Amino acid sequence: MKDLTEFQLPREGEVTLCEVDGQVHSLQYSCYRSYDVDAITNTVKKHPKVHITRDILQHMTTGDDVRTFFVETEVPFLKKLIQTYFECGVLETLHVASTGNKFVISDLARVVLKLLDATEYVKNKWKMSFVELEPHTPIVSPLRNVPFSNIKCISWHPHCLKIAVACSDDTVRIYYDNGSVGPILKYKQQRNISCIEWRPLSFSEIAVGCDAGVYVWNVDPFVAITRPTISNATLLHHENHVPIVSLAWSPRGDLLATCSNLDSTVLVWNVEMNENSSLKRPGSTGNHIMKWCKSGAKLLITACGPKFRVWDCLLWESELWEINSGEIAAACWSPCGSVLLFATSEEPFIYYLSSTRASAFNTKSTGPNEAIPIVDCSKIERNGTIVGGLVKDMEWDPEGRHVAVLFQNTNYVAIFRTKVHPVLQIFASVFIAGAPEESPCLIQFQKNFKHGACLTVAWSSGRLQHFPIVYSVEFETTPNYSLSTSLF
Amino acid sequence: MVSASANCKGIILKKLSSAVVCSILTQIVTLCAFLFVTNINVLHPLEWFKNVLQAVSSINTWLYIFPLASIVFAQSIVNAKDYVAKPMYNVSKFRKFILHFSVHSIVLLLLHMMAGFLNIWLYLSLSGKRYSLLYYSNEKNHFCLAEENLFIILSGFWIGFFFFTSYCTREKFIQFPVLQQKKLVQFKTLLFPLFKESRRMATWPAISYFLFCFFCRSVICQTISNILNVIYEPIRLSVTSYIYVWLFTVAYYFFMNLMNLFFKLFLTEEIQFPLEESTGTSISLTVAIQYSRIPIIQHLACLDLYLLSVWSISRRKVLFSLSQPGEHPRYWNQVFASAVKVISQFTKSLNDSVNFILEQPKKEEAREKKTSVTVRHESQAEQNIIVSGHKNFFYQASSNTPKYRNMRNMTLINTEPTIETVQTTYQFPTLVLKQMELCMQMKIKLSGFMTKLKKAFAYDYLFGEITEANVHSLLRSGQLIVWLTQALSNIAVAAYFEDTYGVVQKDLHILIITLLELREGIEKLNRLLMLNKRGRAFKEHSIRMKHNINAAAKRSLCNICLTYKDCIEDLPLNQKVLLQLQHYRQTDESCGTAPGYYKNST
Repeated sequence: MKDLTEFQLPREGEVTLCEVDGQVHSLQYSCYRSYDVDAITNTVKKHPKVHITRDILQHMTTGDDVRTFFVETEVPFLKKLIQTYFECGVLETLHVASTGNKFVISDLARVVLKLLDATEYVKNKWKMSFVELEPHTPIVSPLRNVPFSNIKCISWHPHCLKIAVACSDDTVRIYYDNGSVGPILKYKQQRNISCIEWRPLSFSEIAVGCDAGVYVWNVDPFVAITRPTISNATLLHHENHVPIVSLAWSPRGDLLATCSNLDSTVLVWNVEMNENSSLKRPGSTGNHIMKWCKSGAKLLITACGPKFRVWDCLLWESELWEINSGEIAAACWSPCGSVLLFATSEEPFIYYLSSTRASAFNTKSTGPNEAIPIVDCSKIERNGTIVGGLVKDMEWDPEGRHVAVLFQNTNYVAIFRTKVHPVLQIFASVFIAGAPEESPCLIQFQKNFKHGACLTVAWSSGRLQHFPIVYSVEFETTPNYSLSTSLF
Repeated sequence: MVSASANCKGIILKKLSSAVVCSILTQIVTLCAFLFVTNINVLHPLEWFKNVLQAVSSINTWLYIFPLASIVFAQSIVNAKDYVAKPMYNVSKFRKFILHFSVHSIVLLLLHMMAGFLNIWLYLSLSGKRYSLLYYSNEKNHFCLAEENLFIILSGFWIGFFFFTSYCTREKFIQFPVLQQKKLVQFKTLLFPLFKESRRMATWPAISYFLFCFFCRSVICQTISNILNVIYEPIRLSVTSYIYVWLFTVAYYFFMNLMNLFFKLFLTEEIQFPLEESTGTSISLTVAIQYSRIPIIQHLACLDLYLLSVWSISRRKVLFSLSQPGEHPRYWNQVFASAVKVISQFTKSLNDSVNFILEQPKKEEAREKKTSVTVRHESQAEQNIIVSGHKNFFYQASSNTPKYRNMRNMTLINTEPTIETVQTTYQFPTLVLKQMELCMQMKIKLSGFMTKLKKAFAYDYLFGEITEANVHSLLRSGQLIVWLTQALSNIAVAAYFEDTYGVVQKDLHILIITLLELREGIEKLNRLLMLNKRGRAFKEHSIRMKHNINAAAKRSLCNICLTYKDCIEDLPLNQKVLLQLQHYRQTDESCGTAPGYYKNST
C-alpha cells in the first residue's frame, strides 16, 4: 500500500505553480504576485483568472436585515398583527399574537400553534414510518467547503474554456477565457447552492442544485446579458426531494440525476419535459454523492450511511456495497469506468473497486468481494508540516493519468500519477501548496485540457489556481518520474 | 410470409392481453385481501384462514367475481383502442365535442357506470348481510327500502360517470418513462404515488355525490321504492355510509388508474427488432420505424434504435457490416433511409403547419384588400371590366373566400399585382352596370353581416379549424424524433471508432443537413409561439416537446461536430451549412498552445 511519505514536501512558504515534464515548479509567496505560472508555461495563459473576494459578493438583504435599520416603536397590538400578516404571513402573525397578552387572541393563537405543531409532528412521523427515513444529516457535508469560504462549488465546462463558480452569496458566476466577464446567475429562490454542473453536449446549460430544487439555466454565450432573468431557467422540483445535495449529468447530456439527503429516492430527469423516473431500493436512506462514469454505463450513488450503490445504466439494476463505518466521503471513476476509487469519512485510506465491462462489479469472477485499500493517507508530520488525513474530495483527470486528493483538515492537495490498464498502478507525484493561511476548498480537473492535465483548486481566500501538469511529446513517450513506485 | 401489419398486431395483442390479465388479476387479489380482512378472527387464526379459504374457493364468490371480471375485460379492450390507435386530428371544437358522443364513448360510459356499480355491489355483497340487500323487513314484517345501501350502491354509477368525464377530457397517449426499468420495479415505484393521486382525484366526485344526494335523495328513493314495491322510510344516513362511499370512490379511481398503469407498463416495454427482414414472425427495425399506422410500434422501434446506438456494440457491428454478395452496407442504408425519412417528414409537416398558421393573418389581410380593390374599382363607375387572371373578378370576389380557404398557393392570395385593368371597347348599358354594382354591394354587405354574425355567435370558435391542432398532433409524436436524432448521432459518433468500411461517413452530410433543417423548423415554431395570441393556444406538453426536440437536435449536432471536428470541412456541405455548424465547432479554443518555454523558478 502506498502512503504519503513518498511525496516530496514543498518548502516552507512556497506556492506550487505547475508541473512540466515531471518537474515541479514552485515559488516563494513573496514573489508570487509578480511572477506566476504564465512565465513557465503558456498553457493556462488564457484561463480565466478568478479571485472571489468578499467585496464583489452581493449578499441578499432579507426583510429582517432591513428592519434592523429602524427603531422599533410602540404600535397597537391589532395594528402590529396586521403589519406582520402583510409582511410575513399567517404563521408569523400567529407567533406574534401568541407572544402578546391579549386575552382571547393570544390564547387562540397559542392553541392554533399547538395544533399546527401536533399536525406537523404526526405528519412527519407518518412520513418517516412510510419511507423508513430518519431525519438524517450526512456526516460528510454535501457542501464540501471550508466555512467562511467565498466559493461553494466550481464546474469546468466539458467542451469550452469557461468555468462556473458558485459563491457564498448564492450567485453563480461564469468566467470565460481571457478574463472576459460572463453572466451572473442569481434568483431569490436559489438559496444554499450545493452543486453545479455544466450540461454535456451543450454550450449554454448549467444545472444548479439548491434548497428549492434544481435550476437549469440556459445562458447563451453569444448574448451579452450580465444578469439573466429567471425566464432563462427551468426549475426541476419534486415534492419531498429537497434540498438537492448532488447532481450528475449523463455523459450524453440527455438525463440529469439528482439526490437529496432527506429523500431516499434518486430522481433521473428528462429536463426539457420536466419528467422524472425514480431509482429506489428498499431500506435506502438519503443520498449525498453521485458520480456518473464517463462512458455513461455506471452511476455511483452514496447513501447517508455506510452503504452505496453502483447502478448499471442499461438495465437500471444496482449492486449494494457496504463499508465498515462512517460513510463515503469522496469517490471518483476512472475515465474508462472500470475502476472506482473512494474514501470514507472515518478512515484515511483510499479504496479501489474494479469492474469488468459486462457488469457493474463482477465480483464473482474477478476476485474478492471487497474493496482494496491502495493508499494510506494517514497524517504525517515532516519539518513541522502536517499533510494527509481524512479525504474530503477526489478527482480523476479525464485522461486517467492523475488523481487529485483533497484532505479534510490539512492544507495540501496531493496529486498521484495513475495507470489504469492492465491493472491499476498508483504513484506519488506532487503536493500543491497555496499561500500561507490559505486552505484548499474544492478541486476539479479541466475536462478538455490538451497538454496533459490541469487541476483547478479553489482556495479559502477566494482565489482559483490552475495547476497545469504539462507533457511534451518526448516526455510522454519516455516518462521519467522521480518518485514512482508500482503498487503491485 | 406474414405481413408487417399482422406482426405488429401480434406484438400489440400480446402486450395488451398481458395488461388486461394483470388488471383482472389485481381485482381478484384485492378481493381476496378484502375477504381476508372481513373474516378477521385474531383469537382463532386457524379458523380465520379456513374461513378465508372457504370464501375464496366457494362458487358463490366466483359467481360474484365473474360479472366484474367481464366488465373489466370489456373496459380494458375498449380503453386499449385509445392507446393503440392513431390519434385523430380534430379539426374543430364542435367536432371534438361531438366525438364525446360517439358509439365508442357511449359504450365506455356505460361500462364505467356498470363497473362502478358492480364494484360496490360485489364488495358489499361479500362483506355480510347488512349491506347486501336493498330492502329489509321492519317490525311489522313490511319490506322497507334500505336507504343506506341504496345510497352506497348508487354512488357506483356516479363514480363511473365522473371517471368517464375526466378520462374523456384528458389526452390519451402513452408517455414513455424516462428510464427503461423493469416492469416490476416501475410498478412498485409508481404504486404508492398512484394511490395518493387516486385519493386526490376521488375527493371531488365523492363531495359532488353527497351534494347530489342531499338535494335529490328523497325523490330517487321514492322512485326506487315504487319500482321495488317496498316501503320508503326516510332515515338519517350514518357517517359510516359516507365513509364507505368515499372509500369506494378511491378504490374505483385506484383500479382504473392501475389499469392504465398496466397498459403503460406493458406497451412501453422495449422490444428488440431484428435488423434484417426475415420471413419469421417478427417485423424488421427498418419497417417498424416507418410503421406510423400503430404509433406505439413506431415508438418502440425508435427506442430500440436509440438503445442500440448507446449500448449494443454487437448490433452496431451488424449495422456497419457489408452484405454478401454485393458488399453494400444494406442494413445501414435501410435504417438510415427510414430514420431520415421520418425526421424529414416531421420537419416538412411542421413547416407546412407553421407556415399555414403564420400566413393566415396575411391571407385575411389579402382578402380584405381584395374586397377594397373591388369596391374602389366599382365606385369609379367606368365601363371597365376588372379581370383577375382568366376569371371574371366580379363573380370570384364574393365566392373566393370559402372556395380557396385551405389553399396555400400564395398566388391566389396576393392578388393585387395580378389584377389587371383591361380597357375594353364594349360598353355595358348604364342600367346593367347599375344593377351589377348594386348586386355587388349587396353581396359585400351580406358577407360583412355574415362575418359579424359568426363572430357574435362564436361560429368560428366552435366550427372553425383549430389551426394549432396539427402542430399538436405532430409534437405529440415528438419523442420519436428525439430518439431518432440522438440514435443517428450516437451511431455516427460510434462509427468514428467502429465503422471500418466507412459506411456511415458517406451519409454524414445528409444527417447534418437533416438535423439542421429540423432545427430550422423548430425555430419557426418558436417564432409562432412568440406571437402571444397563438402561443397561448399551445398546450404545455407541446411546448415542452418542442424544447425537447430542439435540445436533442442541438446535442446531436454538437456530438457529431465534436467527434468529426477535424474532417467536417471535407464533407460535401455548402458554405451556409458550414457557417451554421460554426457554432458547434467553437469549442475548445484557446486551451493554450504547445508547452512554452520553461524556466526553473526555484
